[in-house]
Amino acid sequence: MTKDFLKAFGITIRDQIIMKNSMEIDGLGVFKAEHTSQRQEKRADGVYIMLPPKDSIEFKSALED
Amino acid sequence: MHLDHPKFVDLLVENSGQDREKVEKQLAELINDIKSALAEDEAYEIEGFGIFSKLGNNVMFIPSEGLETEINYKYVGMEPIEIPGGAEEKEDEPQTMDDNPIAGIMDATGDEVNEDPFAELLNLDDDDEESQEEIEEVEEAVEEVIDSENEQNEDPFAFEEEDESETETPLEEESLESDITAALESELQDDDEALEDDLSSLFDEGDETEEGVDTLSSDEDLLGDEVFGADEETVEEELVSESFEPEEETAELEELTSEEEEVVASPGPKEWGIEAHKEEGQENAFGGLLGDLGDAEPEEETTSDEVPDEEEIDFSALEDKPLSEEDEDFDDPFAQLEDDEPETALNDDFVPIVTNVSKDKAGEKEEEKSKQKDKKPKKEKKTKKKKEGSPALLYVLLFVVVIAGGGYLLAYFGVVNIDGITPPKYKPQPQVAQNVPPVQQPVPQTQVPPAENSQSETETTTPDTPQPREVVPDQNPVSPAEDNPDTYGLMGSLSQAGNSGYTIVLYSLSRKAGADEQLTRLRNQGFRTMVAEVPSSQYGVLYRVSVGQFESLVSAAATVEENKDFFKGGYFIKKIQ
Repeated sequence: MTKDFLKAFGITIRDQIIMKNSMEIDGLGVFKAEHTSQRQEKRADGVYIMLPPKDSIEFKSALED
Repeated sequence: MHLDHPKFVDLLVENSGQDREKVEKQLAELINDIKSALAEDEAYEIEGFGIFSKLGNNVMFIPSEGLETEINYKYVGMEPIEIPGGAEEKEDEPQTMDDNPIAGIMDATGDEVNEDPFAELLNLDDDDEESQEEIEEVEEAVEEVIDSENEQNEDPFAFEEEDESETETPLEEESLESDITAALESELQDDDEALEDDLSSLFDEGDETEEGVDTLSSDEDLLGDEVFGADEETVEEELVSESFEPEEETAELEELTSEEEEVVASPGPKEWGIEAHKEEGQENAFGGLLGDLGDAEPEEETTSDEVPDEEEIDFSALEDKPLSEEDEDFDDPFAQLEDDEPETALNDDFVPIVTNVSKDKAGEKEEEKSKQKDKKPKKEKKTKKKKEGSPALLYVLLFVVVIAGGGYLLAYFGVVNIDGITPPKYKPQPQVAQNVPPVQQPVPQTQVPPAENSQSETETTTPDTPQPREVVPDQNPVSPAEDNPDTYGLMGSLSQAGNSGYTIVLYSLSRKAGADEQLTRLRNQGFRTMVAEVPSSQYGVLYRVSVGQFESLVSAAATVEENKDFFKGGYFIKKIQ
């Protein structure tokens, strides 16, 4: 297991997540892109804040017992 | 789109540039490592990608910061923003609603221009409330007065119309009114002159009675006259006299008759109405009754001469107390109400409080704003001063920088001599005239060591032009070169006297060893050879190897022409220093 392989592994998943694709890796799990649109939140001090949108990686593991 | 395992492996092969077997093998190895790490309750990190960790039975993937940043690259620059008008305003609203709506409104408006209108509006609102209360009270009083007046009206009718059984019915009933008015009408129509005589006997001014009679043509005008006549009595007590009362009462009766001309024409007693109307209570009763009728069009009267006076009175009343037209119509009852419940009491109860509040707040805010205004100009002045001061400092700094830079440049290029800045090569040196006759020094038999000559040389930048040199004091003036032919020449040994002449530089070497080597070679060939150390800013020290001693530049150049082959490698002629 070389560094190049690990680098390519990360780049592959990253690119597909950016393209909103989900990937299934046998024995490991599923990587899926999740989008959170912008929203308002009320802070503890009572001030309302508009949060920007965000994309994140959702991982559903196949290793769970 | 969903990528299954084979497609993922294809992409991995493409990105890694490795064989598929290797990729699959490494992927399986990676998965096994992750499994083993998680089985031992340890996290497995792939550098630059993220961490696989286990929390209970759940396996989590925590992406690295770099991966998260790259995924959210398109949202770069979007940061959480505080939304104005959020909770802060919501906090303010209940304060304004609970404590004092006036204060809330006043606080909401920051401009002075808006404050006064609000205060006025608030005052008006308060006045309206008061006026409503007053109106309600007045209406109640009016009802009472009307009832009492009806009773009073009934009494005279009852006394004077004993023969008629219908007299005691209320005036509002048309049948009774028609009877009464018919009687009055008959009286007026048949005995106008008698009535005028009676009226003239009663009143000092007969014109008013005539006017009252003339106004019989229009009911509304008469009603208005009565109303405003009542106003006169209530507002200006001095102007009102008892003599007016019957006059107006007759006008009222005439109005009633004019209203009910067509209904009934039953005769009645001539004097009972007038006598009855001499009573003040009845007068008020008509005022109240006709006031209700006069609400419709009280402003249409134009006939009487008293109209201007009445208008003036109305305006004065309005100035004292702003009331609606309805209030003006109820002036007769007001006269009683003023006696019973003076308006000043109401004003004392309500108006001062509200007005004081508004005035105080308005005054305080005006003061605050005036203070703020006073402060603002000061701040502005300060900022202006700062703004004005900064360019001057900048100009001074710029001037100093320019002067310093210019001085440095002048010193650097040798225009001005400043130690530490002016390079030694540009130090001004006293020039020696080219036509100075060469001095002849005693010719030493031995060679002059090159070091001695080199010490006196200076660096030259242009090989073809002679450079200024330091004056070498000739302590032992000798005869010219012509007297001693060995003083100058290309070949032979160096002469001390020839150091005041010119030499032909062949090499400028940075290494002393190389210079010495060339010196030796040229001497072996029979040339008058010398080596001079010249400081150089670029190379440190240069060693110039030159041949010959010449009286003048021309003689040196002539020598070069004679030995072109020897000097074809490059040379320049320089004065020996």
